[in-house]
Amino acid sequence: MEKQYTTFYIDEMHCGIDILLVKEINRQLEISEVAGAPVFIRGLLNLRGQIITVIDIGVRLGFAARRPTDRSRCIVIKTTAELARLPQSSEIEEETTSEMVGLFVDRIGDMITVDDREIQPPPANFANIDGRYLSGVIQREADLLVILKIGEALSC
Amino acid sequence: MSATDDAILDELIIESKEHLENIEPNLLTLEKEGGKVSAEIINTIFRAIHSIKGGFGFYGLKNIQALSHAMESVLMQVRDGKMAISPSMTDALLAGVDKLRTMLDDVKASETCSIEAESNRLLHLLQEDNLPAPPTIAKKNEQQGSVLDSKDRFGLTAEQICGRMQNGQHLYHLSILCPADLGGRNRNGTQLLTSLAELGHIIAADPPQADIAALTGEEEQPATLAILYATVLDHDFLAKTIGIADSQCVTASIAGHGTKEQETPAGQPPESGEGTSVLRKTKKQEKVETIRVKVSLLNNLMALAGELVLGRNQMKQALNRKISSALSSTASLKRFEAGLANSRKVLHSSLQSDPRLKDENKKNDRLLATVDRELGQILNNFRYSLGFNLIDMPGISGLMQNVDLVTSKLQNTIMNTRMQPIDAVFSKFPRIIRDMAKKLGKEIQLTVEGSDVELDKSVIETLGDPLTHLIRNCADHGIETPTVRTAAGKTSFGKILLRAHHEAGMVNIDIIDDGAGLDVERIVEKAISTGSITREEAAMLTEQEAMALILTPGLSTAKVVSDVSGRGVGMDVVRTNIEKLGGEVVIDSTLGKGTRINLKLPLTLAIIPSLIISAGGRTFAVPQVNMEELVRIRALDIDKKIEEIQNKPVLRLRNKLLPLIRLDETLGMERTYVDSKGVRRPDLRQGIIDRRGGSAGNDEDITAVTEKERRELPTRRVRSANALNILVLKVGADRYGLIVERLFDNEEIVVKPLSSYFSNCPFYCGATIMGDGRVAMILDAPGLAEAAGLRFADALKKEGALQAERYQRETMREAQSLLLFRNGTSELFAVNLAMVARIEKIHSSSIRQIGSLEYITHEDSSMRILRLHHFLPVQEPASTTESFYVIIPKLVTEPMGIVASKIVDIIATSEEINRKTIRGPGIIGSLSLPEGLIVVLNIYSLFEAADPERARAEIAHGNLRGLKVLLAEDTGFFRTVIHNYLESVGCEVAVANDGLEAWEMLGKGEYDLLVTDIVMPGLDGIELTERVRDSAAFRHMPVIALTSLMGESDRARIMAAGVDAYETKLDREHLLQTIGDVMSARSDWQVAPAGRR
Repeated sequence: MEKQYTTFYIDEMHCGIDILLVKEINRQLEISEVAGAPVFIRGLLNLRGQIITVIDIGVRLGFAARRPTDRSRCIVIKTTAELARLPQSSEIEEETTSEMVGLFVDRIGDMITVDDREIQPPPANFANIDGRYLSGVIQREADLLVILKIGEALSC
Repeated sequence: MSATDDAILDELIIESKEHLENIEPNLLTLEKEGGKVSAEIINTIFRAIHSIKGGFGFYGLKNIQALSHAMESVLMQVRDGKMAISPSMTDALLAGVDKLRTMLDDVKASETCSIEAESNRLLHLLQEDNLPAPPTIAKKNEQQGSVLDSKDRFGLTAEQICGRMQNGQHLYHLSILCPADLGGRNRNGTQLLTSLAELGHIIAADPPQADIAALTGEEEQPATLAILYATVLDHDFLAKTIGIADSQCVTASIAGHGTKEQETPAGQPPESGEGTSVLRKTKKQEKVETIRVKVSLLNNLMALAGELVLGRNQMKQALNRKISSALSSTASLKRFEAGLANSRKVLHSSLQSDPRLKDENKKNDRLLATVDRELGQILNNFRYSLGFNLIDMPGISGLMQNVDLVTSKLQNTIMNTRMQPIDAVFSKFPRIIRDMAKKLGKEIQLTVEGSDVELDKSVIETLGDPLTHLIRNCADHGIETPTVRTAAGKTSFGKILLRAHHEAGMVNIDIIDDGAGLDVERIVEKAISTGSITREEAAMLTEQEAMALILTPGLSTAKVVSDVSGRGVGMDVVRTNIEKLGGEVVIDSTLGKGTRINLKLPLTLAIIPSLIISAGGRTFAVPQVNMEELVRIRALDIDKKIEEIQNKPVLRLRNKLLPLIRLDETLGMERTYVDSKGVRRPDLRQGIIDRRGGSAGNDEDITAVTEKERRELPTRRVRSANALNILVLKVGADRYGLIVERLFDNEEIVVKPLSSYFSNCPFYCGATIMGDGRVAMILDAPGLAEAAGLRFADALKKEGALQAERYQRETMREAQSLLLFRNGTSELFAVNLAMVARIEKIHSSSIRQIGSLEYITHEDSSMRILRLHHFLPVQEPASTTESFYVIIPKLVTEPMGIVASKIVDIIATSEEINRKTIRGPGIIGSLSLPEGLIVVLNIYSLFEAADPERARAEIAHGNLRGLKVLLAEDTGFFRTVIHNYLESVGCEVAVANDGLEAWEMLGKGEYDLLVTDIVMPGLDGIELTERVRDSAAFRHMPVIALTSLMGESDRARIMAAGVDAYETKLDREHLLQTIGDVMSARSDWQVAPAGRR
């Protein structure tokens, strides 16, 4: 079965998540930092009157904190409740979070369609990333696309 | 079951729960009043149970139906007087209520729930009294309904009948036989009508009601009374209730009309009638129209209102920006116009005055005209372009105001929809108390007051548990058993008063009992044994502090842990819960007399007034409910006001120690400060007090001072950016100071809950969206204190007392700030900064000479100025400068300015002033500091020297010569100064370095007056005064207290100790005046009592 992935970059790593999990991609990045918060929390963002927590997924994966640039984006993830309301909800294997969360990424990549069978299990100790956060990798001509287990990576 | 059915069932459940709420207090009344209880109450209970039975029977929920039926049967017997009211009966009924409540919580599961125990208890009651077994539920023995013709013997149309019926009522046709049903049952016509009116209402009667009322019931002539009757009771009960045979009571229906009951959901209670007024005795006034609204809908409305408030705030800000930019545009337009006019003038005059151009006048004129035209055009263009900025929206601010007002009202109104009477919590306590009293074998009388006080739903919900805990505690530990109480000479029953009332925008809840009170000693023992406090700490606790210990985790003073209290909620949880709501718990108790627990709560939570502040460049909101006051400490005063105890900064605020924390530090932010140019720089200083010294940050600060600033050196460190802004926050009864960078406005903010990612950040309690759209965190006062590892004033006080000697001697030597200046010579002079009102820069031309005296104009009046060398044995400056400074002192009635050629610095020193080396009138003494030898001036005696006549007049007024004064003062500086004041008016002064020394000296010497400082190590001024007042020998000694800073509470304490007067330390004239007043009021200083002189 074919699946579509929203892809983005953490440093130079090409990552992807199921497109159904993405609510919107936002470039308004007036994020208020929260002193004393865990390091992987970038801050809070006012999304049309709703406060969402923006997470530096890179830090979660073991990279250094992202520096904001013109290409930085915030990928807003659907909540578990929002996923449940989708008509395709039965097809989605992943869980997200109960609260609104955004991913702070360096830049957005292409939307990629992949056949399930192309996904391979992540190599052991891949790029020193905790295996818990990865669901697989896809070898492509130009690069390796890393599929993230977003629910795991977003858990507190 | 269809969705509509579901909805109706939901409605039924909610209604039934309300019925149960009403049944409970009525059952309690029933129990209390026993046989005297009014029929109304029984009927109310009966009707409520009956509607539950009917409603759920309709849905086929047999368990609920069966249990309510059993309850109903018992109640029926009671109502009919066939069964006496007994405790076992009310118990059984209450148990039934509880069971029904449980089943209603999950109706679907109610069928699997066992009701055997409860129904058996009820059935047992019935059998006990040898009553026939209650009818089985399924049995329906209603008579076939008779259909009334549209015109019957009552002559009413169906419409008329319908119009007289109310929702949920059944229509019956009653045939009552006279005299069998009247006299035969010991009643007359009136009594029959009354009992009918109690249960429903008569629609029509034949013969008319007046005739029925006239019946004695003993008439010989048999007659049948026909009554068309509407009631909610069903057929079986009606016949029994009014005491007629079943056959005499016929269910009627109206041709072409269903009964009203069929048009409404089953089990609907009567909306009005006699019963309702009993149900809601507290709200007896007119009927308030209500509809049910889902809480989620209200929450949505609330959130929307919140957004609206945010929108309004944003709009206001945008408008203000617009207005200010319009203002600045107008200003720049004006400047531009002026500039143009000026250039034009210059051009004109230069063209006309230039001799070389004289010949070409005509050409010049043309040129000028062109220039004028061009300039005019530029101006117009500029005006035009600015015009866009100035688009004046007529009435916009009025509109804004209106929107503002409406928004606030809307928000308030919506908030009010969430308000619920506190009765929602209070109403369950009578039952709890009853059950507990029974279980514990105590007699308890609970009085509830103010149950109509309203609170936000969320507050009420959170309040339930802590309040229940407190009430349980009260009954369990507070109230003693009757035997104990009687032995103690109290009434056998204990009283608990539960009271809610408004006070200062907060809701106060008091739980007052007349029980055993708190055994403070036992609490302290327990606290020591659990390690909460050490024995040393315990020794220093005040009673209030000791009582507050029961709010700490792990303390229960109950000897026996009963199953009644201590259900996993401790008093510490009570405190935490209340404080989470922004409230406060205060305990006050007298052993043997009783306990009063006071809770203070905010009315609402979701939108909270807050102060917006910043630290480290970030914005935060601080809920005002946590805030006590704002303190701003000028850079100049920081050294003086902030001390360190064990390296922790504290602020001495009205003689209380306030621990301080920095917000940026506590949140783990880099410490920064904003320098003179508005640039944020890292702050490298070590502590708050460390304002000077060679840190990189400050060096830069100083080098950045421009020449102009340098001339105004005294203000160098007074730059507002360096002042400290301290929020005094309260956590329960404790206070601490939070140092923030900047203070902004007060705003009403909408609290948004924090994501669980922040569960490790105790210092936040939520987030909010600010007017500019950014997200700001809401600070949590208790969390911040916790995160900073703060120890509260009490703890600090204890530590402080332990090291009192050292600490007070070292840090309390009230480091003096001295203003150093020169008088055109190399000599350095100093005056105490506390005595300086201001420093003016004066040009010599503004001096007016009158006789030999010099005057300047200061604040619209003349002020004499003094040159030091005229009055003191000091060098005369070689030359006079054009401009100089005048130091204007304060705390003097007629100040004179002191001339200074140069202001050198402001220094803080705790050095003792040397009174020996340099002395003379106008001089306190000298100080040897790194800056050089400094002559410290005594402003008062300097003024005396300058104006001997006035000084003499003052002394004459005071008439204090020869007065023997004992001065107790631990601070060297003040000791010296006050000593000098007193000596200057001829007093004989003996000095004590602290309270204890003063006390010893009192015993040895003879004194007319004691002048004492308040804050002293060891024995302080208040204790000293108390000792004096308590002693036989000195009880009449006049005492004057000296203070440097004080608040109202200190004032009260000082006066209570028995001082004759108090005065501020450096206010010489007032002090002398006060001494004069005190001494003349006490005539005994002129005629000394025997044995003392």
